[in-house]
Amino acid sequence: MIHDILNQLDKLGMVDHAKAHCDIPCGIYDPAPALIAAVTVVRLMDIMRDAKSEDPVALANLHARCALRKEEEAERVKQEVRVIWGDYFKGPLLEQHPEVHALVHSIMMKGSACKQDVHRDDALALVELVNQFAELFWKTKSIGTKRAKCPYPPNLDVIYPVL
Amino acid sequence: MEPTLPDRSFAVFRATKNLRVGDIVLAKHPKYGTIIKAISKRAPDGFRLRGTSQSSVTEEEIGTVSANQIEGRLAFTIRAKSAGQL
Repeated sequence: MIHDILNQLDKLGMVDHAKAHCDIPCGIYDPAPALIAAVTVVRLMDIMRDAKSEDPVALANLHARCALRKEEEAERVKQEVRVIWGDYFKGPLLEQHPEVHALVHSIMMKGSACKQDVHRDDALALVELVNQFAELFWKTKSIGTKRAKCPYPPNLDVIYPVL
Repeated sequence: MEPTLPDRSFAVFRATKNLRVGDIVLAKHPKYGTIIKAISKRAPDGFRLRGTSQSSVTEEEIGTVSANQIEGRLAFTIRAKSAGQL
């Protein structure tokens, strides 16, 4: 009953609000989506480069679609990595792995480069940076990793946790 | 502050400078705004705060809070009804 009365006062703006909970971490973190997105960026560049068509409109359409998806996937890499860096790495983990800041910054820069242009070397470098990030992530959980070629084009080496 | 203070609870604070470790306090934080946390320890220039929930930001993230930033100590609460009580 008292709670109900206070609720009414709250609705009238007579109660100040304070936050006792600053976040709702679900605890589910995995660099796999970032890696898949990075590999996808390489794949999209390959499709754009290899595309052939006698119909220039169809070719332009394919390039436009690939460029759009490349933009989205490169942004996805950045977003997935930012969330792990911002929400998972904190406190003692940051003290133990201060190198994560420079690594994440490199991923942000390389992700932007992949959005801006179609240099395959940039996309390969992005995959490698995210691989390093994935290795570091699994290391913090004391879970080993292995490098294996992803079983789909562009068949690049990516990091998998050994569970 | 779950389970100490369920979401949507009301809390009444008493303004005081007599603060001790373990007290639940209302603080004005430059980054997190008005927050409710427990004093974990005294620091040379104030207090360290922590949440009682696993989901709370860490003591390191909150940093040291000066005595002037602490508005008061928890006097009593009117806890929100749980789903089972509704």
